[in-house]
Amino acid sequence: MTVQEYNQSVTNYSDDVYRFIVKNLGHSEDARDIVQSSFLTVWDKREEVEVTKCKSFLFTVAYRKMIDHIRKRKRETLKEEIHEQALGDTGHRKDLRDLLNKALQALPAIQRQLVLLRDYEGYSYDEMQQITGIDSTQVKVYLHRARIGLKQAITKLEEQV
Amino acid sequence: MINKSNYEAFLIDYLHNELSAEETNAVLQFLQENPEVEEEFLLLQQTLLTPDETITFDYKETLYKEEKPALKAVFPIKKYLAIAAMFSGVVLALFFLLPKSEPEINVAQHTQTNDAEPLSKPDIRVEEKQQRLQQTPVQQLASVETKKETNRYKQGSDVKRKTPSSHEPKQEVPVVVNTVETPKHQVIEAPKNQEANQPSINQLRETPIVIAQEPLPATNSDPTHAEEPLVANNSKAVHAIELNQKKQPVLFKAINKLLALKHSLKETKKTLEQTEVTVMVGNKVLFNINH
Repeated sequence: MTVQEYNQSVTNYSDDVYRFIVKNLGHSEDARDIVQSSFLTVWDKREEVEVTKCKSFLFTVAYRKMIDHIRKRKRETLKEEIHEQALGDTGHRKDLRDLLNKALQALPAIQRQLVLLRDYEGYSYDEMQQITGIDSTQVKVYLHRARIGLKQAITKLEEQV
Repeated sequence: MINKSNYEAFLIDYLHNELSAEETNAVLQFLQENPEVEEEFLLLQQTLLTPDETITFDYKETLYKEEKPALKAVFPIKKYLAIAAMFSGVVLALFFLLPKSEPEINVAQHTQTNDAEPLSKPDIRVEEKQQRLQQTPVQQLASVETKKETNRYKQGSDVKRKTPSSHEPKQEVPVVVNTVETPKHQVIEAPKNQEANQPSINQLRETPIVIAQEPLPATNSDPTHAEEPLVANNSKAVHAIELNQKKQPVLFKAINKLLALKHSLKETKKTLEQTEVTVMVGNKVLFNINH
């Protein structure tokens, strides 16, 4: 991958990967650090990475860095607590988008990550297996649970309305 | 196969585009046959997230890299100029360094006067002998014969210097330089298959310059010197460098200029030697030079 191709990947994918990270972490500063660190890795490996696989490689790196970040900061429990509170407020919100965002944050981290990879980036089960290292069958299971959880959040909103 | 107990998994896989064509058709048919399931499918469809375009990464400038400037190509002409300059320097260094003392130079232009014989190639021949410090100035003789028609194209110079040995410091030894009557002095004879007596311009342009240097003689009458020459003549030259006017025109011209300069320096030296100088302090004569 040339310098020009790398710069093009920054233009094309930096928003996507940042969106994916910030939606998972809920913290823009941490997400920015992870994105910058991920692109630094891509730059260091540019000789080995093909242009066509640059995005997949970038998301793989970003995903792993995000997991490391979560484990180090031990934010997982804290985020779950925050999301439980957020879910409590969903009854008062009528905007479906906001509701889904809240429901998304309420999901377990792995489910949220897979939903974002699927819905935001359109990755298949096999591609998500390559990015996350999780078996494609298990990816399917997590995604099914996430869909059911999101559907229940919507159903709950409709019942309140 | 899709049925009422497993349809939810099929619906989710359908939303994720993970079904084959056959499975997709089966799901669509199942939805038509079960309207209550279709409502549940619409609810699942609403769980699909769309990227929030308002979230952007505003620090792209920190990620961009600059391409390193390419190295400037070196013009090949510089290489050839360097080689030419080095070659010229070596030749000039040899020219100046080989003589161990100030040589005396005679430049003789000679031509072949015999019209019946083929025209010889013009030669410039420089033969030098080293001068001992104790020796008197060298007396030399040079003969020049010219023929106007041929001299338009050819120039030749023979320089031959002969110095007396250290055992005979006061003896003046005449040096006889290449004459027409001694063709053996010519280093390169002209080809004898010329069609006419007049040489062609191309032939004359290729006339080589032969610089020949004689070794230091132990004595002027040393018979061993006669056996040393590298060139086919009776001279005692042991070093010879052939220069071609066509191949090395600049060097050819430069050497000609140097030979002329040496000749003028020699004349200046002779003039100075013949000048009487008296150094005085007030009315007292300290010493005289050439008195």
